[in-house]
Amino acid sequence: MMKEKKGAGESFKRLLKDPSSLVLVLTSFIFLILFVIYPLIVIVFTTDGSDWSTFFTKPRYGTALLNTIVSSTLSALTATVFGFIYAYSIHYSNIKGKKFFRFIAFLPLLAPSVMSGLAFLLLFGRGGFISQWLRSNFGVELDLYGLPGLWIVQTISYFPLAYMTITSVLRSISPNLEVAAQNLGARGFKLFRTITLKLALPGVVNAFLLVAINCFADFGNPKLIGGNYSLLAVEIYGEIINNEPGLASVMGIILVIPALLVFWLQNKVLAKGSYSTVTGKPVAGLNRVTTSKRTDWLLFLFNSLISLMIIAMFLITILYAFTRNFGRDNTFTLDHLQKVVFSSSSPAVMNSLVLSLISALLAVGLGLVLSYIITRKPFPGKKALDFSAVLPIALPGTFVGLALIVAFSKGPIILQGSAILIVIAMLLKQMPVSYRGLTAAFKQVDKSIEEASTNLGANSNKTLGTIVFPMLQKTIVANFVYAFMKNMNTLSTIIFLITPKWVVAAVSIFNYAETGTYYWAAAVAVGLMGATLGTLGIIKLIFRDKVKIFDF
Amino acid sequence: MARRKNNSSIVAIAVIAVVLIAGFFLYKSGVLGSKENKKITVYSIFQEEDARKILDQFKAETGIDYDILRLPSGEAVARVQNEAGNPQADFLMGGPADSHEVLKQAGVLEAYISQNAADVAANHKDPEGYWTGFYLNPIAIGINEERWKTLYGDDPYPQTFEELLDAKFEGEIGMSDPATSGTAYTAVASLAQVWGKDKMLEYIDQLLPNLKERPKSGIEPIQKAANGEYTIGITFLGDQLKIKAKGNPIVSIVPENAGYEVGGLSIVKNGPNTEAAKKLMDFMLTDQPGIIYTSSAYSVSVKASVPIPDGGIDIKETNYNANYDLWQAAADRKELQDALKDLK
Repeated sequence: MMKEKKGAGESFKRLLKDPSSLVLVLTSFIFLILFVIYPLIVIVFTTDGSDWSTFFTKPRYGTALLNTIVSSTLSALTATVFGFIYAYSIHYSNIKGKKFFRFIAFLPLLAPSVMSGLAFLLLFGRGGFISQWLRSNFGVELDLYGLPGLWIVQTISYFPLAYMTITSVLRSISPNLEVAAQNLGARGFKLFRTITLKLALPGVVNAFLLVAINCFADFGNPKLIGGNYSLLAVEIYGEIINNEPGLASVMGIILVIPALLVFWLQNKVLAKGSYSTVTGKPVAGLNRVTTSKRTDWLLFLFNSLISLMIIAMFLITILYAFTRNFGRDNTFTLDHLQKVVFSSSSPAVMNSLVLSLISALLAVGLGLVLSYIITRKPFPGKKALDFSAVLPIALPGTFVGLALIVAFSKGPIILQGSAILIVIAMLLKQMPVSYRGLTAAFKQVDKSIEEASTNLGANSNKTLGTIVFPMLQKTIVANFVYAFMKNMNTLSTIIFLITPKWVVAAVSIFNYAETGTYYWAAAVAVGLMGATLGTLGIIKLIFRDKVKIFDF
Repeated sequence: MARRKNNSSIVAIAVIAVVLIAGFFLYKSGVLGSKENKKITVYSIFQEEDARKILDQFKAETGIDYDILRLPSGEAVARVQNEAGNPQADFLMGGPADSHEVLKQAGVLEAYISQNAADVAANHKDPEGYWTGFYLNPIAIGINEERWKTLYGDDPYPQTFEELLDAKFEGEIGMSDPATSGTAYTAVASLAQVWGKDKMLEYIDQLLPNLKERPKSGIEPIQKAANGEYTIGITFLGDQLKIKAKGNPIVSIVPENAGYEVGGLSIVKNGPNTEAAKKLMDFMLTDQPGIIYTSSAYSVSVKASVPIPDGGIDIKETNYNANYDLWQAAADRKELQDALKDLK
């Protein structure tokens, strides 16, 4: 970022002379103050002393907090370990089918995490496919409701996140170091422990923290399979329904504290302690030292088991969606899809598609505006704007939804009951990602190219349109695709905000799964994945090689 | 040049997308499409599958399409109350009558006396028409036959609440907590109305040692009894018959003095499409919706013209407490539940 040599007054004067930039700056400030700062203030002031004392004196809330910490830590640990092994096998081993394994790790991103919960119920729940098989053949009664089930489901549904984070770190480790270590006598596990693991450690810790925060805010899975194991996100939901926004806000704030802590850790500690440059680009150099045959075999076995589990989860969902009542009546049918996906009385999938597209467009648009004015324009309050633009990334989805519903169902601005809140909630979660990505991209475009354009007589709009945007196109599309996929699958962020007119697919899946209408839950899940894949396909057709989708 | 061409195609696609999205919004907000066919918005406490079957029929007959959101009854009550300033829904389908009574007191319901409600008994509907009953579901003693046989052989099944006090049932009965659960409260409120508050409390006090557990959810005891975790589950009859129909060995007995639930229907005040809601109320009180609902939920319609479903039990042929006063039960709720909380 450029240092402003002149004072704030001077930069403000310059801004006044450039009305279009002034409009952008003002809009950004107004938007972020209204939808980030204002809800935070409202939520803090909604709580009063009695809410806090209720929270700390009633044992059920303490239990929920403890349970949340325990389960999130467990799930994050296993998801990180699994993600690491998976990523390691793809980058360090000679196993066959790497492309296939990459594809498998991409699959869970297509579906909401609550679909993992649904598939888990269909396989291992009471009356689940595998539970029944175990019961009838071995007389074993499988009861995984509560912590064990939650642990398994969160591990499976969040391991791709860990895998992706760790992959980018492993790719950036220079093989030269490993070869050097090998030449100095380090072999096998010692080489792995002293070099690879050590170099990857910041990335691994980062992955652990990311997964932990996601588990912390996860709502659907705990509600579906948590049973009597109470968790904070579920308790918040209960208090919102009991019309106790104060108590819900207290829990929301409790939920935010560890998230902010993680955010701070990522920014301060990890950024400094990193041994490798996290660019996500492969490092050129010598060939990688690869693993032994025996290790390969173990890694292959591990990846296959994980893949088998993921495939089973998707397969059972598809089977339920396309049969009358899988397990009892296996007749092929399109009835379920017709009733809950293609009927005008069930617009959930359509709603998801429309709202996700709008919100993703706005998220990227706002990210673009913010990154543009922050990297290119002088104005006072830049630091504050930057902070409030990145802040939502640190807030758990449940909290974002809670803050919006508390802030906009009473007071001067009422937006409750409209689709606007849903769009904004999705936008707030995705905009910081676009903002960060685009800021980095802006910084890579040398300012002198723009200055040249200006010197040749182009005004600031023309420079933007002809020079800057074309150079950013790839980043813009990539961020749009990412935001769209995340929006399609979000549940915890919008669970408080849905209205009967704007039910979205993830909520439908959750509702049908909770009431045991499994074939409908499965049909909506299939419809949602179809809509996501279809949209991605269209984007791929438009942008061809400019966008990386389906490249494994 | 290639880039320019590419950009213009992107612009074209963007324009198409904007037009489609705008059209979708106009359609959703009811601007497109004629007024009579404006969608009706329903909060359903019924299972969504049952509600949709009924609403699909309604759509076929009237041409009125619907949006639906299924909610547990507590959540539905909270939602309708919270939205009082800007109602989102037109119709509230199902849920115990006391929930509808709460909403009536809060002033968020629209009074409407359907001509089809004429043959609904006076104690199954609100006299001013703020809500109308739809189904009846009594409390019953559900027994796992197989477990009974192993434990008690050929002993006769308990026919009254008093018989459940027998010491041989220690740890063999499940009932949700009457201090918090609506199901169990219906049972004890009826006993309090027949026996008086003190005798009811004394009874529950004596019953407690026999209870294996007091779960939060009203339906859980019969699920666990069906799994053989204990012998007897006290729940609503419909839940027992539903589990029995899935092939579980359950016998149901509606004991003397058993209270019952009236499931209600109501219209939300100032909803977006109140006209359609009134039509839906008329439709709900014809026979077809009653048949659809009762044959899936195994309860009994408030209307004599709706037949008892296959595998169902006619409430009038049981010993249920026909004089159970749900208004009285609602009025006593806080006092009784507070007293129950003091029992260990």
